[in-house]
Amino acid sequence: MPAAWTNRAMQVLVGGVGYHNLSDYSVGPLLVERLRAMPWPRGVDIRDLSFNHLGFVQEFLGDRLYFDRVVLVGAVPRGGPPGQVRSYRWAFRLPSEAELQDRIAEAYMGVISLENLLVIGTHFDIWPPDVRVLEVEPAWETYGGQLSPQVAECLPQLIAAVRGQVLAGWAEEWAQVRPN
Amino acid sequence: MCFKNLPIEFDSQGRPYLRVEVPNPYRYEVRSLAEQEERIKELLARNGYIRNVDFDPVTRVAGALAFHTVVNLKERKVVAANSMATLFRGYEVILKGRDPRDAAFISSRACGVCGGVHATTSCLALEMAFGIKPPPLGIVIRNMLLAIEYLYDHPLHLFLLAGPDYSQALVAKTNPSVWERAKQAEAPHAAIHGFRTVGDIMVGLNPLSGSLYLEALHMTRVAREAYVLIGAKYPHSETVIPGGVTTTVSISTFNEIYRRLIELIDYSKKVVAIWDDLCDFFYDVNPLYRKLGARPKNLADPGQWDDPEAYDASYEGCAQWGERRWATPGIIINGEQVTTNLQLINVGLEEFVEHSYYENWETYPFRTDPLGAPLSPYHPWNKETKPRPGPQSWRDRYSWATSPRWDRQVVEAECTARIWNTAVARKLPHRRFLEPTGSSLRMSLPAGKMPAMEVEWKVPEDWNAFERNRGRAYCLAYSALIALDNWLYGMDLLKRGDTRVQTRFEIPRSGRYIGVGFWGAGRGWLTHHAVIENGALVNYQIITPSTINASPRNPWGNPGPYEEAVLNTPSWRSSTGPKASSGSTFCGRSGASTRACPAPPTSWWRATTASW
Repeated sequence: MPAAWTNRAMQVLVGGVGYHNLSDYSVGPLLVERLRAMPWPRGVDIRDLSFNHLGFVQEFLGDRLYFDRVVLVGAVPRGGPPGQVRSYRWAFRLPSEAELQDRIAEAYMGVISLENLLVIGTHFDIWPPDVRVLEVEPAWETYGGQLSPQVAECLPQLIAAVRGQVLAGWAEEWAQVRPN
Repeated sequence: MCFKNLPIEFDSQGRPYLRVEVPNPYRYEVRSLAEQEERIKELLARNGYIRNVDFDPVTRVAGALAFHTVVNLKERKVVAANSMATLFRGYEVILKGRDPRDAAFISSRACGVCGGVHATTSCLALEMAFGIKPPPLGIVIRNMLLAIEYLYDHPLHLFLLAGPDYSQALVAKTNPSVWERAKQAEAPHAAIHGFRTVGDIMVGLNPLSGSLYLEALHMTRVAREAYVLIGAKYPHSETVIPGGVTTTVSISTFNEIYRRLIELIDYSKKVVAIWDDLCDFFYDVNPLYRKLGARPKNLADPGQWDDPEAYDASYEGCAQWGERRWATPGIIINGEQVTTNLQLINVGLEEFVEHSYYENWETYPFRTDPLGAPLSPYHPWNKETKPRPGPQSWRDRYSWATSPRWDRQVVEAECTARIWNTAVARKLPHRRFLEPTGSSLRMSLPAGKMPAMEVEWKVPEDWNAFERNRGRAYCLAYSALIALDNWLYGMDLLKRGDTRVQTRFEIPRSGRYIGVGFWGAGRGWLTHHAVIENGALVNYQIITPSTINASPRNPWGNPGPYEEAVLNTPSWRSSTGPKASSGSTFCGRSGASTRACPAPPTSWWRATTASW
């Protein structure tokens, strides 16, 4: 037990991003279901962000949401080995205005993309300085709810990585937060 | 009567029948495109000023579209155009063999903007197949929901997709002379929209930062909020089912919707004024803008928003309940409305695949519709989706879109077709806010924060990219009024205690049933044709507006609407602009593309097509 409890928990958003029923591209929303079933410290908000990214931005701004850290997870094809998990800190780099405009239009027309969410959120200045991304290299892009063996196999690693990113650097702070 | 090309005549009571003297009435000869292709190849080889210009992907159109053109830089014209849907979506294949109740939820995913209309169209097809008549409030809620969906869709199109082509950021760079003129041009409707000059409007349209762009982002949220109050989720509503809706509503739900609806009605007053000023300004700058994206006035629309008293879901009654819709169904050929009869609209429909990546089919299960009218073997109820991927060939197959045609004519799907058909038919029974005059549609917009206002959409002299956008702006007001009219209707039902929203039904486990959902999407025409056998879907055919508009050539070599619009779009050299516009100018919808070929700007193409 810590010397003193604190009620001020770090606010962390964990967001899964992807298409439902599109095999490996559903890993983001699928992970949200798994993560929600696990115990988390107070202040961790796990959301499925697989919808109109502008809608999320509007919700974020309209409801004056605040997070100390954001951890986003989803499938992104980059040509790596299927099931590869990559993590990085978001660098807040924006594409050209024309490309940004296209990405906003894509979001409005139903494209769900982790990269688009990062970029659009950055443009509308909703992110805290600490945004962490976990990507999985997909293998399958077919209709249905089943993951490829490679991506299914990496899920435990991915879940551990999410937990690691949520807690990273804040072990002492979390330990002082009064449990629910 | 209405058919000029199909072998269909009418008896003395107006019933269609197949012309008997024709031995193989629907047979046709495929016109080879080889000769044309060879001619183009030869031109390309011999003349440096004739170039291939390709656009892939074409942005601002949901879905995967690419475009190929051959451009004659000397004569300033497009000599060949091919529209290519680059993605096989395959909903028809996915749905085959499934429980019919899956169709609404799966087909909804055909669009990331307008899932609700797909779900509804699917439900209408099943209602017809199984004879399910929803209760009045179920119909009213559905009408409201899908009118509200357009209050998201139209601003998205006008300010996020099309608007940037008219923005200062683009026009000042690519058409400096137009921009200079815009800065001085007083906006006739300044008192309504608040922008003193057309130049000020263009600044407002600047992507990412313009006040109109940002306002549209906000208004789409207002529309989504209203939508989810009854649809539960956007864009893929969870509450639309055959027989009505699953949501329960109360006066307080209605009040929540009303607050947003009034805000959207006010917004529509401003939007109409903005697009009137923009379109008229460009016509004034150069009358050639009237030719931009021009094509014959051939439009098709199955109508939508059902009369709660008239709609009985039956095919037998579709001609009657169709004409009582808030949007009158209709076919316009060369500017003349040839029918408003939903049965005839259905009977005249065919889908061809000669230039698409599909095989033709041999089966012909439905020689007549349920009323005995002749059906083509190429009608959606007879069609079979048989994908056949292959190499791209301009003379052979080059698109995953098919070629839907009505009476074997190239018709366009367009939301303006709704107001056009309603205006000229004068059959609209719901006239609380709408008054069709035969050549226009008057809309009475009630007061909100802005005063009450009447706007009037008039049948355009020219049918082009500008009029498509102007029509969309008016369709925003039109859709908002239909939502309000249904809101009032629904309130009356609630006051009377008629709160039923759904009719229970069972899926018959044996027998064959067919149905068609006639509705529309943001861009126009939407139909789902379903055949159900022994409790499972055995055929499901979706025709979206983009299938129609992006269609490749048909068997007779006639280009699809996008192709035709691009072929008809002129190019000219600016006579007044400074050096910046000295290149050959393929006119963008906003004239926003004066960069020199052979590196024509993507905005030229965007400008021509994004008006859909």
